[in-house]
Amino acid sequence: MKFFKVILFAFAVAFTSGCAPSLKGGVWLHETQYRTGGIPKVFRSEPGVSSFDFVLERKGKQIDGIVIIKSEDEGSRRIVMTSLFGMTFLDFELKGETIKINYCIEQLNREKVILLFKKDFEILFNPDHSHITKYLFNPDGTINTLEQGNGITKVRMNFDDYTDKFPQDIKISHPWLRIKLNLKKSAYETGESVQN
Amino acid sequence: MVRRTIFMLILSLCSSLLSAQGGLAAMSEEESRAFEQLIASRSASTGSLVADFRQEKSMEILKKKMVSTGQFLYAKSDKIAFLYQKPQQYSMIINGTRLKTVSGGKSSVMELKNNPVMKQMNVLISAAFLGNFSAKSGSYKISYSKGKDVVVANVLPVSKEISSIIKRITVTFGSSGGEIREITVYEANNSTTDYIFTNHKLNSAIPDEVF
Repeated sequence: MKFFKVILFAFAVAFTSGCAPSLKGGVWLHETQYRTGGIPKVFRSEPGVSSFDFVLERKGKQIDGIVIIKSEDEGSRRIVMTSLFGMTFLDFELKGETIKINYCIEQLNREKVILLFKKDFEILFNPDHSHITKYLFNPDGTINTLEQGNGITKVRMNFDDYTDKFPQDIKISHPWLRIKLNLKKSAYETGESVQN
Repeated sequence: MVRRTIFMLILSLCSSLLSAQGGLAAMSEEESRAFEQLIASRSASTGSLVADFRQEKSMEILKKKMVSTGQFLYAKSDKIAFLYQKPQQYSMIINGTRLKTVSGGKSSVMELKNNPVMKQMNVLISAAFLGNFSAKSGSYKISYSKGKDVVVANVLPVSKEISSIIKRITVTFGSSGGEIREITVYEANNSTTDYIFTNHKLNSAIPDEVF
């Protein structure tokens, strides 16, 4: 019985891995004019600090907070996730493909969780970092939706409320893992505490 | 021998200067006990508290502090609410072992029993109002210092799990009235968060629905 379950699981994984991203009406990277680069950015690459309110949802439970992203240059960024009450959850740096964890609370300190965040932010900073990506574009050429990966690795990102060519509202979902990360430009950036 | 004496003299001079700069002097056991009694008697006569608060978070990544302001509510004996008003509306409400957050009209409830940090924070903030620091001394090491018109409780978590997140917490009280003026949380990642309380109103009616 256990053997059959393993076979069934293997088939399920093989089947889903063989499927392309299911974004209806989406186009592959190599079908766009950006196959050699130059895809519209969804995140500012200039040095500086950005902040977003985030809501992380998993199986009906949610955590609220603020994510602060400091860009040193296009290839190097520091990301800090903190609660609105002040407690820091996670602090890590991305440089190329490497990740350096500066701080992580024990409850989040799981390799799979960290790698999930790593991948999400890599896509956010470089929406064309994998050629196995499908895109939907807005009439003005900005990215509306992208979908990358298959099966359990599938991630879909929606970009909304564009201001100065950059989205203020970003919805990231991992349908198989039932994880959602919603980012919305934070009021902290325009309030008393401008962070730069 | 002469070198050692000069070194010790310089060292003691430096430490005197440092302590004078800080403006705080350690309190004796007797003074600490007397102050704990003051907080306890204040707590006994306090059914509720309403105060304005200003939260300032300092982080290595930011040049300026992240500032939030709002209203703080406390109702005996285990109800606490931080109602954030600026830069955005957000609520964090503790009622016994239940933590409720309200953000963008959506509320989320969490059992504090499952969250050691919030549980300890709850214990600590409640302890400050109830004056039962000593009763919790198994969880925290507490020492008091006094300044011109303040008493500062320096609270060090004993649990390794908590100290890997919070290095220490200082609670600044008014020395004559025992009211909490400021709480500073020093995180293990070198960030600090200050909660500054002003406009204290004691024993005013707080609707139960808030919690």
